[in-house]
Parts: sequence; structure tokens; C-alpha cells
Amino acid sequence: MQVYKAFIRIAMKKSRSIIIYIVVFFAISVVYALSDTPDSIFTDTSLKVCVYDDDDTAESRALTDFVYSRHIRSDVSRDHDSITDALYYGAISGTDCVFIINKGYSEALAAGRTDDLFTFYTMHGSYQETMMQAQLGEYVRSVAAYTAAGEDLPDAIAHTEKAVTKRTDVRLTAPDTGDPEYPKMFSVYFLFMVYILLAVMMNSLCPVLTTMNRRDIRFRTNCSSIRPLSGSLQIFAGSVTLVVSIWLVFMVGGAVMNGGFHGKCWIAVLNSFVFALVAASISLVASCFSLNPNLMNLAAQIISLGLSFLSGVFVEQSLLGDGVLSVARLFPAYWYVRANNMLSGLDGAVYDGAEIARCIMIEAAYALALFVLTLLIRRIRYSETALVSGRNSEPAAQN
Amino acid sequence: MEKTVVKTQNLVKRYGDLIALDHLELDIKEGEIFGLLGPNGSGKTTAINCILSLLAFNKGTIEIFGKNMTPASYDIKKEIGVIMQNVAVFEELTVQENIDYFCGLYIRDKAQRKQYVEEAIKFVGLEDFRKFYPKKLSGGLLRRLNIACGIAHKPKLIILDEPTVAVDPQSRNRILEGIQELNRAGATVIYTSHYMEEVEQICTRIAILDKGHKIAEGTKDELKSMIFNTETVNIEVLDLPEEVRKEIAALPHISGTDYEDGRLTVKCSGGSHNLIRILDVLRGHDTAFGRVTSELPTLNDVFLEITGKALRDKEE
Repeated sequence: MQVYKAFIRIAMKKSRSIIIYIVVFFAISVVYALSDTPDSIFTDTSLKVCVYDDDDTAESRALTDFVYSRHIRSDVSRDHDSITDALYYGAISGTDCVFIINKGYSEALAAGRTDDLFTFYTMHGSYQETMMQAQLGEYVRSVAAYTAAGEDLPDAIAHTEKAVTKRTDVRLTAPDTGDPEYPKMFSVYFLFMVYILLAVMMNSLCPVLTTMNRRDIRFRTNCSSIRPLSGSLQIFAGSVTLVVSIWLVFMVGGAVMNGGFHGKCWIAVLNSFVFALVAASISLVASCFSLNPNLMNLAAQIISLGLSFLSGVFVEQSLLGDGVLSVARLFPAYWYVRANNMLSGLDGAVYDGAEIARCIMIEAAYALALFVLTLLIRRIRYSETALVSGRNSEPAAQN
Repeated sequence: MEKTVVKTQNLVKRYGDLIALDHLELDIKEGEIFGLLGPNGSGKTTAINCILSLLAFNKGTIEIFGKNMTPASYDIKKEIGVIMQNVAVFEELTVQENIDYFCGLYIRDKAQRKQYVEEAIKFVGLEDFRKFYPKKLSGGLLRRLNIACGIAHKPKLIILDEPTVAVDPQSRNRILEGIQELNRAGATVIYTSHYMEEVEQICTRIAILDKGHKIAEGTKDELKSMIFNTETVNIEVLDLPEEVRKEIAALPHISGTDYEDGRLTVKCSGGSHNLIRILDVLRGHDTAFGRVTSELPTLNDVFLEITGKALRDKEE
């Protein structure tokens, strides 16, 4: 097991970048989990508002009270410079909007007029101006409607306040996955595994395999009394150990953050295992080209980010164009994401057991095809070089 | 009778139209330090790769320890240590781990391996560097590590392919002394180099290769005796009359004389006491002379004379 032990030892020595990837991924997952509030209640936005009442009537005071009941009161000196300073430094001074209830407000309202009732001081084009104008417009139109219906002004104001303050509870909930044991955080964790598995596998497996397959090292190994098949099997065993270990780290992390796996989660675990094999196979193919560490890192970034973008990890598949999707179907990551979406209900996907099985089978087929491709490339590359143990480029004339 | 360790017969290796080995015949005896000498591209490394079964050949046979060598001759490979020109070690493993890894490809027993690794470290003088990574070692120390990785399993046959390329003189001497020490301990050594002086210094028998063909073989003295000019005498003479030069040229075993810028050069071909006879002639004519030097031929002279332009021109 000399080759196997050296493989593992070299993998451990090259593990620094892998640990960084894993730590960052877990840190982001923890932050996401802590900030995930699937049942948050929707709340209105409150502005910091200053009202000047030039009308000073019971109706204008009622409006002032109404505005301050829905927004936060802010006091600003009534001169042009103070008002513009307060608005310009809104974030510091705490004033979003200043408006004046013009003199004659109550008379105009009683006459059913809703124009020119207010004078606004806001930052031009700000959403605060639009929001305040919309709320005041809704208020005065409602009062006008009640007075037009024959109610006197105080009653109309009372009914309006009651009407506009009436709320409908809005709840922000996670998509309905049909499985309460499959939380949104869990599905996102598995979704981003496309990127992290590809990046980590390529940055861990490729450098070790490249080292073990270095021409001079291979030469020395081929000169020794170890059988080539034994050496290859030990490298294969080392690769399997590394791949399974990395995958297990993510699974244990996922289980800890989600309180274990239940129900459909186990299908997601299987899906991720098959994709880990795909990532390992891609790494095997990449390692055949003996790239230097910088180029290998670049290739890992391009492949992991490229496949993640194409396959709907960072942008939902439903938002991708038909052309992009037809290209994405050529890559195993697409089928992984599709299966994950169907399991989690993300992206509006509906659970379909048979389709999920088909997706996982397609991923497995990709892993197998890439493994065979690796064997073919190695055969071609190593038969091109003269130094081969046990297999020569031309028939030997040995006895 | 000395046992044959490596025997190649009629060995031919072609790369397309290029003949890399041309019916190479080698017979290396037990306990020898056998030098394979030749310029770059002469077929030394190809011969080594064929002997190690790393390269297929087109014709001929190779026997090592009396058995046919094939890629599957693991029992023979177990007795061979290989040290190549390039330093083939893992950058990620320490000196000790590297030696242990390569020793472990031959020796399974852990206790025995540990002992062998320790002995190899001591042999190459890397005791103070056992925990160092290769990138922290100087070029000379790296070469020593390379050697330790090749000999840790105590092979009976050690093949060194230009192990001193780009090595400082101090490390080179240490490496050459080490090879002689391994030989004294019982190992048969095949040493390839294009540094003639190294081969001359340590090899007990030498084969000279050119264009894949063995052009000469023997001890260094046997090889030197093959060439025409066996000695060159240089004498500083301020004034040399022409009749004196002619008298020297007429002496036995003198193949040529040249007098230029107060320096007389006399080329001798065989014989003995040539220098005494030349000096007697000068004294006999009361010709004053200064510094006298006598140069014996080196393997470089042998190689130049055997593979020189004249010979190739003639072949062409």
C-alpha cells in the first residue's frame, strides 16, 4: 500500500486550499441558515416625516395625527436651508419627507377638491416622495368619496382613517415542497453543492493525480518491482478515499445544520453522491493533461463557475433562455439541479420520482463516460511517451 | 570465472528511420563499474531504457543475472536500482518520506525498510536534512536525495544515467566517491556520462557509443592504447636549429614535430622513454631548453580520434 499511503499523504499536504473552500462554504451556509426566516410577517415601511400644518383646522390636525400614526415624526426648522439640509442628509438627519398642509385644506376638502392641498419637500425622484403622495392621495380621495356620498366631513375622515388603516396580513413563506422535512435552506445547500463539489474535487484530486503521474516519478515507479496494475489500483483507491471523504464532509455538515436527514433528503444525498462521482470524473479527465497548479486552478474555476451558471445554480433554470437550457442539458450539472429542484420545489418544479431517478441515472452515465474517456486519454498519452511499463508502443523483441 | 550481470546481444532499436541502437553487444561482469560513454544522442539512455524494459526494442536479447529481462521480470527489477539524470522525487514529501516511499516499492517489511532508509540517509550524508522538503535543498543535496531514493533498497545492479549533470564540483566528487563505495560493497554499476574525466576516474571498463553503435570497449588503458598518438611532449626552446628538429623527428616512435613561437611539440606513437631520447638530442647539440611537459592521452583524445571527422568523412 506504499502508493496509496503516498497518495493520501500528498493529498493531505495539498489540503490547504480545500480547507479554505470548505470553511467558506460552511460559513456562508451558516449565515444563510441564520438569516433564513421562512415565516416572516410582512411589515409596512415607515418614513421619517415632518408635517407643517398651515391650515390649522380640526381636519388638518386629524391628517397630521394620521400621518404621524403611520410614520415616524421628524422635526425640522421651517426655513428653506434647514429643510433642504435635512432632506439632503436624510440618512444622517433622519428625514425622508417634509410637506405642508396648505391653508384652505379643510375648505377644499369639504368642497370635494383634492388638488393643490399639499406642498412637498422631497429629494426629487425618491421613492419616499412617490410613496407619501400616493398615501395622501388615497386619503383625500377617500374623504372626498365619503363626503360625496352625503357624509359630513368629520364622519368622512373617521371612515377614511378606518378604511386606509385596515390591513391584510401578508406572510412570506418558503415554497411548498410538499415535504415539511425538506426546508428551503436544505435545498439551497444541495443546490450550491454543484459549484463546491466541482471546485473542491478539481482542486484536490487533480494536483495529487498530476503529481503521481509525473513522468519522472512514473519512470522510477515503473523501474521498481511493483506491478503496474497494483500501482494503478492503489492510486484508484486513494482517489476513491479522497472523493468519498470530501463528500462525507459536506454531508455531515449538511446533517448538522439541518438536524439530520429525513424522507426525501436521502434522495438529495444520493443525488449529491452521484454528482460527486461526476465531479471526480471531470477531475480525472483534467488531470490527464498535467497542467501546472495555476492553470489547474483556473480550469477549476472556469468549469465550476461555468457549469453552475449554465445549469441554474446561480440563476434559476426557469429564468434561463431556451438556447441556454438546450446547451445546459448537455452537462451533468443541469440534471443534478433539475433533480434537486424537483425534490425541493425550488423554481416552481413539481416532485416527480420517476423523473428524479432519470436525472440521477443520466448523471451516473456521465460519470461512467468521463471515467472511460480518462482511460482512453491515458492510454493514448502514455503510449505516445516511450516510457511505459508493461505496455510498449511497438512490439518488443523480447524473449 | 566472473559472472555476467548484464548481457545484450544484437540489440537494435529504431525510431522510424533513425537507428538509435545498432546491434549493441554488452557484457557487463559482476563487480564492475561499467561506463557507457558517448556524446548526447549516441544511444546511452536508449540502451539503459531497453535494459530496464521501459522501452521496446526491435531486435536482440537482454539478459540480467542470467535471465531474460521483460517488463514483467519483477524478480530481476527488485535487484536493480536506477538513478536518472532528472531528480525524480515528490516535492510534497520530506527527504525521509521520499526515500521511504521509493524503498517501499521494493521492500515490504517495515522494520527492514526503516533500517535501509536510515542507512541510505547516512550514506548520502543527509542526516541533518531528513525533515526537509526537496525545494529547501540545494542542487547538490537534491542529487544526493535522488541517489538515496535509487539505492536505499540495496540493489545488486545500480544504473546511473548522467547523475552529475549540473552539479557543483564538491557534490560531484562526493557522488563519485559514493558510487565507488557502493561498488566496493558489492554492487555492479552501469554509469553513463558524457563527462569523459568522470568515466575515466571511476569506471573499470568502458564502452564508447556513437550513433547507437559500440565503437570501442575496454579498460581506460586498453582504450588509450588503441589510438595513434600515445604521448605529446611540449618543450620551451628559444632557438631550435632545423637539423636538430629533423634529428628529433627521426627518432623511433615519433609521429610528428612542430616548432612555433619558441615551443616544440613532439607527438609520440607508442614506445617508452621518448622524452629522455628527445632531451638527449637537445643536450647533444647544446640547445638550451626551458619548461618540459608530457601529456598522456585522455578518453577525450581517444573519443576524438575514434569518432573524429576523418573517420566519419571516410565513412561518408
